Amino acid sequence: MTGPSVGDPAPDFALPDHLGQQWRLADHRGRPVVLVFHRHLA
Amino acid sequence: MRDRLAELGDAEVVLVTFTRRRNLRGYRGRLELPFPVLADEDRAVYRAYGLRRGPWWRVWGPATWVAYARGLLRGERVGRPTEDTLQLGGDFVVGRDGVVRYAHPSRSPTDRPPVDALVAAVSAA
Repeated sequence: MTGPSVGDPAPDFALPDHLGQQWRLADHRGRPVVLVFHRHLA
Repeated sequence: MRDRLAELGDAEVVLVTFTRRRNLRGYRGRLELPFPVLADEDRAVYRAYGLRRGPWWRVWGPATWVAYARGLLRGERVGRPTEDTLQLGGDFVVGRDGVVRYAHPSRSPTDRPPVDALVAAVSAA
């Protein structure tokens, strides 16, 4: 499976944040969002 | 990128990790990150964004060792990796409309997009 390309809808998701609250991508419509997926050395 | 956060305007920056939920606070504090850090323990979101584990020969190629050496020369503490070093990352910009405006799945740990490209994508998002 490949990930989304430019022009595709971003896959929505909800994950716990460092405060223990759910962070959902769809809740941030109206603002640009930069998603940085961690890897080692980053 | 941390030095240029101001150029991202009203964009929200989030760091998705696959660390355990209980490690998030320490992780965020240690790296002094001013934005949310999320835990994707089972890596379902990594998979949804097409981010896989890389082959060891690419992940641990010369560029990775050079990056570690540079970090040491800068005085950074380089500890033994405790998590899956083969998991690849990536950088995405999602527009105000929920559409992907920039996508950079990494081919190796040192394969990061230029910050200018992220700033430009956010400006157009």
